[in-house]
Amino acid sequence: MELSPENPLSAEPEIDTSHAQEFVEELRRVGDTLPSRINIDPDSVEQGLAKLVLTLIEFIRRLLEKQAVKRMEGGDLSPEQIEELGLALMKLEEKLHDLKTQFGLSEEDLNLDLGPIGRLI
Amino acid sequence: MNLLVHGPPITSRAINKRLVAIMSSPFDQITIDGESNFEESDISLLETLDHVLNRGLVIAGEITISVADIDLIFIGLNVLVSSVEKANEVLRERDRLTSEG
Amino acid sequence: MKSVVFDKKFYPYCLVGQTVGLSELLRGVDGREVLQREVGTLTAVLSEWDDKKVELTRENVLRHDAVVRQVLEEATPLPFRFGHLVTAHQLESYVESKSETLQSKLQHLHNCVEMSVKIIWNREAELASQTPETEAMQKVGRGAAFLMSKQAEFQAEQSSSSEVAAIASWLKSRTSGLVRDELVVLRPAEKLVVSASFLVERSSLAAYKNRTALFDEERSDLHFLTSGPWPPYSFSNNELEFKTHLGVS
Repeated sequence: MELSPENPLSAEPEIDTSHAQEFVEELRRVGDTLPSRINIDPDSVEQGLAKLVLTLIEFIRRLLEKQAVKRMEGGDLSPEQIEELGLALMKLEEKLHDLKTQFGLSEEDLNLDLGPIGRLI
Repeated sequence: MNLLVHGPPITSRAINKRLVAIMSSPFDQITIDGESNFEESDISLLETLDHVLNRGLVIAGEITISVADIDLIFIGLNVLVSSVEKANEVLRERDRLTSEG
Repeated sequence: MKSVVFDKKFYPYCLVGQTVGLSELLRGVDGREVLQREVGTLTAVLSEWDDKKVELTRENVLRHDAVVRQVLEEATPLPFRFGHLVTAHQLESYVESKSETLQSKLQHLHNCVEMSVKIIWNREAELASQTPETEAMQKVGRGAAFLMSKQAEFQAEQSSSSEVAAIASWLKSRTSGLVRDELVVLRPAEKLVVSASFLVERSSLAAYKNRTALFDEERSDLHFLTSGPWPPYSFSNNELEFKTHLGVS
């Protein structure tokens, strides 16, 4: 392929797959999971702050669930304690879901900041 | 600079055994083009982007906080988790030793 | 006497051991001219820049890759990934302080290209075995049932993890002997469970391709995407080292 300012490619990479469409979907999904980046802009401080707070709480919430299950499996909790713990975590999950809706944030918004890539693909 | 990876996704380097640096790549000087002419199903472009763009290694709990598009803080929460677990282990061991003493 | 503008910016494409021959027609990101500047013991391939933002467009990304590929045809590049700006001073101090590391990296990458394997695993079998409600759950309160369902969820995640690790092992065993280095990223929670980058010597490339051509047949339970050759982006990571070097703490 001849090189010119209009045609910048000197060699195209070979891409081989029998499942192009499937990979397109997955690459786009995985591409969306860039490291989360929360930008607090003078114009959107509230949004940025809400995202920050909710992302952190969401992360901690998942950690709490994992730890709670571990404790339950460890056998050192009474049935009453397990019930209380479960109820609290269940409510926490619901509450967080409500807050996300309130701030117009989707599950995706909290897990990952799409950034420039999300709008690009 | 070298941080421990904890929890999925897992990264391994079989031959050289280096710990891979976990850093997000702040696109602090990139904006998007107003009009993008990307085709929906462009596998070639997506694969290219996967190589040419720095996505870092996505570990749950990585957050970069920027203000006015200037990256200020990078938080690797999984590193914190490791430390807490480690701390608990240490405390349990200490308790065990004390109670046996 | 006019002082040099110390914060003049440059857009780096890669570092090389020595100057290479580049076509005069070659244009880089934003259609800019591609230059080569000596930086300590190495040469940097770059474009001059100003205060303009680097635009993330299809065109620019392809141009960036094209420049690095041109270099790859003649020499071993240490690629930068897309979108980073540096000053001459930053480049110089980076090359100077990391001079040994960079030289050994260049040696490590010498005569090699990067090849990529991505694997999708559709875990229908796993989903089928998930029983959302067991008898035990019906006997306890809502809170306990909640925790038990979470427990089942985490267990499923766990078994996924070990299956995916097994897939990665298989891949490594199939490519061993043909690759100089590898970087394998596992994502057990996704469908795209394995993303592998291999550093392959040009002389081994044909054998490597023959090996990977057999994958579809050998593992009909998996879906493969192979691509390459690429410049060795995954094994260079200049921009990562750069950030640390500049004291981003």
